[in-house]
Amino acid sequence: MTLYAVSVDPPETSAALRERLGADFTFLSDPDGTLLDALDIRHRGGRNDGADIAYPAAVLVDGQGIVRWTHQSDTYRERARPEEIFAAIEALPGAGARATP
Amino acid sequence: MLPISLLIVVAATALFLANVMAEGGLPFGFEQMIHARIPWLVVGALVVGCALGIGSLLRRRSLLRYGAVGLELVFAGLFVSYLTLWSFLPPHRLAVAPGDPFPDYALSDHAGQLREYSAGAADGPALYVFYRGGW
Repeated sequence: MTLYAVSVDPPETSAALRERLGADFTFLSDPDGTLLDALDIRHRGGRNDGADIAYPAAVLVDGQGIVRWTHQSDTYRERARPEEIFAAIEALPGAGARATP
Repeated sequence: MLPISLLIVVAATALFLANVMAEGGLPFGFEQMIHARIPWLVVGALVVGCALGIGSLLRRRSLLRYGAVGLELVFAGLFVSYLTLWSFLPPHRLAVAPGDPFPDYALSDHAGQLREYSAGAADGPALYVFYRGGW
């Protein structure tokens, strides 16, 4: 199971955030919003300075590259809860013990 | 009645903010309060608090009481607006649903390494979390 945190931030900004959070997962930079556009989650002018950013979302993909679970909200306060995410991972075909955090 | 009204407004706000700062980790955490789409407990408490304030003002009026209830209404009004309106995003919908293939990409990771993904070359399951950016 690989965890990717995706934003429009350049790699340096992601690296600094990763360091500050003590995170050991991978951050992906999508400064041009190509993946955001492929998923239709570009929030135009969503940042305070008018830049485009991502709508918050989570997508779980199985080993064959097929989407198995998604989460979205119409408010930026609400995010997927850990127990919801773990349940989705447990439900992956052939997941079993792999899903333990 | 006015002190109770003020207490409700202050307590509801403080509890919400404390939960946000502790990321839902407080023992009296009402976790769904901050994760809820609209935290009705907080919104409800603010409305009840303001109603009590207006009720007390109708019973006995003074400049000080007008000031206190006025401040309360402005504060609670702004906070409720944030919770029910301003923190909402324009309509949008993910282009993929369960059963769809995840799109190909070639993106830099935090170390500047190119990470490429294309359908069929998937190596194990992955969770992608899209966030609004570092701060």
